Amino acid sequence: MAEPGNRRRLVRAAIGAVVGLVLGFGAGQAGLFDWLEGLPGEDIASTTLAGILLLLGLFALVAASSRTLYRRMAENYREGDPLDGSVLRYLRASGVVLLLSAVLLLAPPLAVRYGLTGDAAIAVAAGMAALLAFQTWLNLRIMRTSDELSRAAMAEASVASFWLLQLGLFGWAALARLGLVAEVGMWTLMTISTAIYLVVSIVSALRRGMFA
Amino acid sequence: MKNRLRVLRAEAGLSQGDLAGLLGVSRQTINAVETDKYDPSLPLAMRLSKIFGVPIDAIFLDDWIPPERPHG
Repeated sequence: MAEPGNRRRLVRAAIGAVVGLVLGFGAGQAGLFDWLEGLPGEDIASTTLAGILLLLGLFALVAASSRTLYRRMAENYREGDPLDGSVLRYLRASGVVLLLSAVLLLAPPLAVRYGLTGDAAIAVAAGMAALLAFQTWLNLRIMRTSDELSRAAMAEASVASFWLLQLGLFGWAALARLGLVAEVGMWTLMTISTAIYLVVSIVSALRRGMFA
Repeated sequence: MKNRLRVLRAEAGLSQGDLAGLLGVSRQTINAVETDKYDPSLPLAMRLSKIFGVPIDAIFLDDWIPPERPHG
């Protein structure tokens, strides 16, 4: 017989699968996949990553909208856990950071796709700079106000990501210099680094028992 | 690092959430310390020691023995 925690996870996974199926079907009907086909590979990857961040951010914002929803939706909530305003504020800020990451990832490919050049491209860049500044401030605030386990997990994820990216970048750059592999564009590198940081953060949080 | 936090907490009749609330950290932090997934900072270890009224080395177990110092 499955443990209550595992049973709850199975039910949530089943709900997630159904929601994913409906969303995927809806996106297909709306022509999203045809639209994606017109994009270069790195833009498809960053758009997909942005979609994942968008859904995670929306989930966090909905869960942080009330204590009742937080109790129902937060995977690691157990009865009796401290649940004051700061917990919800932390999750809300994390949700906004995720949404901003999604927007920042989507903006350049969308701008290129819709042929924005000259002043319009400069306006997109200026908007992105403003969003990036706000996101950086929010990230620093999250880092300052979170408890020491969260800070340790963030620091660990940053160090591991840096090490992995440095290793991969050096290896690829050396091979490219020797003419053995193709050069890689900046946008591809940025998409890879974001994806690696996302995966490493989740692994770090799991290792530290933050979902327990 | 191995520790006796779970035992001390049970003896004090506190849940992980209660202890987390007293210390101003998340329950996940207490859980991670109890399951040896996270070694707390020195300030947090000191606060644990004060809450349970025992020295730090009665909470955290370290079998390291210092090498004998050469006599000068």
